[in-house]
Amino acid sequence: MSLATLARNTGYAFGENRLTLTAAIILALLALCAIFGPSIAPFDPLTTSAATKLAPPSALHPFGTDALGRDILSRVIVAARLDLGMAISAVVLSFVVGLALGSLAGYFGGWTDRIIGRAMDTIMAFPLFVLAMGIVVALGNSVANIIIATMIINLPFYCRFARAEVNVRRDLGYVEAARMGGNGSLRVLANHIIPNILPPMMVQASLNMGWAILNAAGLSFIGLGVRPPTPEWGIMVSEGASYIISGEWWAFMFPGAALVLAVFCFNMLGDGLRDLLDPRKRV
Amino acid sequence: MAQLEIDNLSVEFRTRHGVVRALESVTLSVARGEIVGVVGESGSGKSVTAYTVMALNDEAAQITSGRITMGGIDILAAQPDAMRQLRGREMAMIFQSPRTALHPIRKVGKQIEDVLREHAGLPSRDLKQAAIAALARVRIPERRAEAYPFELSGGMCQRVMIAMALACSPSVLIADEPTTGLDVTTQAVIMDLIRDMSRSARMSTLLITHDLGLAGEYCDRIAVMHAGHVVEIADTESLFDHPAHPYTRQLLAATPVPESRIETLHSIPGQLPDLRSTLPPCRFSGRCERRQPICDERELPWTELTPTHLVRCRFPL
Amino acid sequence: MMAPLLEARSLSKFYPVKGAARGAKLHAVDDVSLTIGAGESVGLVGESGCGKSTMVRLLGRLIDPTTGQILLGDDDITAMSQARFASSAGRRRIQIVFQDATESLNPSFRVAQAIADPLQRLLDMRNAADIDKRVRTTAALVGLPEELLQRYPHQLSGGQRARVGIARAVAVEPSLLILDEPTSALDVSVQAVILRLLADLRDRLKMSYLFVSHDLNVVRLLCSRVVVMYLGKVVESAPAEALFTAPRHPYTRALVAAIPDPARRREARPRLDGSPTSPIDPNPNACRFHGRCAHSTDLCATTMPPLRAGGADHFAACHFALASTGGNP
Repeated sequence: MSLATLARNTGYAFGENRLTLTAAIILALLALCAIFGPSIAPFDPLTTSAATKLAPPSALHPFGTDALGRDILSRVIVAARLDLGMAISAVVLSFVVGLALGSLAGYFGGWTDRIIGRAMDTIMAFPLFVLAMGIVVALGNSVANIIIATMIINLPFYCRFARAEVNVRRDLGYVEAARMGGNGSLRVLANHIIPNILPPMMVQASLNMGWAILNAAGLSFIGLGVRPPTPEWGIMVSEGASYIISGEWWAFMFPGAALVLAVFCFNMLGDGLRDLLDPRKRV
Repeated sequence: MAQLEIDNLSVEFRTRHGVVRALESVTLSVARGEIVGVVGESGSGKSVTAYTVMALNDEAAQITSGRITMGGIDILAAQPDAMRQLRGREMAMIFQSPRTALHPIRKVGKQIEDVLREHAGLPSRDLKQAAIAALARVRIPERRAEAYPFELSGGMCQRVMIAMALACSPSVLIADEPTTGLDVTTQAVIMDLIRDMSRSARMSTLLITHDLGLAGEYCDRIAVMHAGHVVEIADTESLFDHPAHPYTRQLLAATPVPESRIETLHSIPGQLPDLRSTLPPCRFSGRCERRQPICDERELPWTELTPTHLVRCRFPL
Repeated sequence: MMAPLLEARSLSKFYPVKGAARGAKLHAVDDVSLTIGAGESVGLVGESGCGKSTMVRLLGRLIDPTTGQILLGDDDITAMSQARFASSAGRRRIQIVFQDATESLNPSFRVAQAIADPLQRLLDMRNAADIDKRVRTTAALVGLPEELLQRYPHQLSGGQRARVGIARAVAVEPSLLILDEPTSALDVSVQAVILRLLADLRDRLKMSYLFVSHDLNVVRLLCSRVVVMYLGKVVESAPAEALFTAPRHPYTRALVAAIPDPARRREARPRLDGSPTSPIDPNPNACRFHGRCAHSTDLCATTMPPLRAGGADHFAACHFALASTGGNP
């Protein structure tokens, strides 16, 4: 698709649906936070100050301060990089590997399908979050391992989806025509089938993104993966949770809201992305 | 007196891309025991006509003029509840693609019982027998009443649909492409069945089809449609022997029959006009070689060649 | 005598049936032999379940036969697997035009790309300019306006899509073109145009045709010879005119009688009712049409009728096939 068509279709897709447009704008803002975080944060997210600890939201600290006196707004902004970064990495990896495995299983069937299917079943046999916890504990506490864990538990999702989509298309006329035209199996899969399943898969990826963010944040919430004082929404919610009873609601509310907002917007974006990529809707 | 009368019907569809004038001044009638064919290509408006008679159009459809009466009842003025009563009891429709028109996870016998329960007012204990009798009329054996649609062939599914349509002995039957997708031998059996039931029950049948040959074999009269207009109505023999509208003549020349030769097979020039744009009075004029300036200026009259042969053309052949 | 372009010898294709008795096989195609001469147009007709779709895939080398051979010229193209054939020189010589209705065009490919793909794969064309030129020439050949080349299938009309399917197949200049219901989804007026195009292309590119269709009138227009299949077997094979005017097999006669014909609207015609018997493990000693045939006898139930000649090039598989009137005995 040329850039001009892409731009035109983007305009069309977003013009059709205000909600999608709003979601996209909010996500763009979050992305800006992720990219430029440290530069646009008003305060250094790591600087502590015992004097201003747990200060309620004010003009100086719009989101208040946490138990160590750090500005919550700055921490929320800077944390975007980590949260979005982890989620996107995990989803991209999951997507690519799941697409590959699922396509092979769906197209070739037989033993390929059985082996890949059993591997996916093994993953799905565990409660996914528990599995993620186990992986991080086994591999060690680090951001990289959170990404790997999230990637693994999301793999079956993409794999099954790709498998089903490829299966449906495998016997269609244009696939037979591609074989008549001299395309070998892998070429048929890569050039003729996969371009058609990308749109629905992108929708799944967008919906999955929200879950991946929650997963990464969840692991940090329980103390695995990201360690303090690194700003990250999950940890911040965890730290702030202790102060709910004493009434300092801003400590957990703002990072929590950031999480909710990010997840919500990714879900909203799912449909918009499908419209964008579906050749049938191209003008 | 005609059982079903469509008089000067015009239907528009409001869409995002403009107003589609799907039907304009469509007039035709079907008498008791008569089979009238509505023949046309895609976009001719034949299905819209059928759906309008059954009041099954979606909300985008707007009836801008005309009347439809069935046995004296004004269909277009009827309330939705009254229509629901009529549908299934007095008027029935057979759809294209039989397997998808039946409920996929309900046994066919039960589906017929549903129709009977709703419209024939039979007591529950008689339903099963009545359903079996309905199936027998279309020559489906009793044990098949326990089958699901996916277990039956396309032809059998279509017969089930016919059984459902005829279960309450309606006075009007609308068959929308009832045999598309069926084998030709099955088609012959189904069409014979429709014709026999039409005659014996004195049912008015409207047969919508794109297959001129099929209409020619089974219909008493044929209405040819093009771009939302009825361009010619005649009894079948007259239509085939003396087609008066240039479109009819070209359609006949383009339809392969046993005597056709590839060198003389005719193709109709041009394309359907865009039904959203402003259209000339004769919607075929853009494709017609006999076109004169007056065809695009003045309103298009009906010419009566014989009492049973009407054509909508200023210069009929 | 024309050297045959393609010869199918005793082709059979059996599929295992799940859920039925062990070893049960569905006889999609059962011992079919067929010859197509250079430049000849052969029609293949029959109703659903007769095996013509399987024949299309067998002759197009998309699937391997269970038994039997296919000879293209002098080469046995069944000696190698279908996957090997796909990368051999023979692949370009047989192409298929698919039914438009089954999404035979890739929705994410533009028209130009759809036509160029076989050129790149089968003719190994690399130069973008050469490919472009060939695509344009082919488009012109099938009457596809140039401005449609950058469109997607959903932006084309039925007739335009049919032309793209044809362009894609003839771009590599095959010797045999298999047409699987190419016009069944089209309006009559569009169908006429496409049929004329097909006739024209056949003469210009000197191709042979295998034309598969359920519409017997259309088959009669384009084909010089017609083969009728029923439940996986050939029941009749004859020159087109002879088949339609004097069919010899009872099934063919029922088929011909079922074609709607306005000229014969007043006649009561014999109808074929019921359904075909099961294609799973059919009795090898009984005629497949036995049970549905008006003329069934005990012989039909105990002996499979062979395909026998009777009259000029006119074969029928029936113990009681009517002898052809006139011509050579």
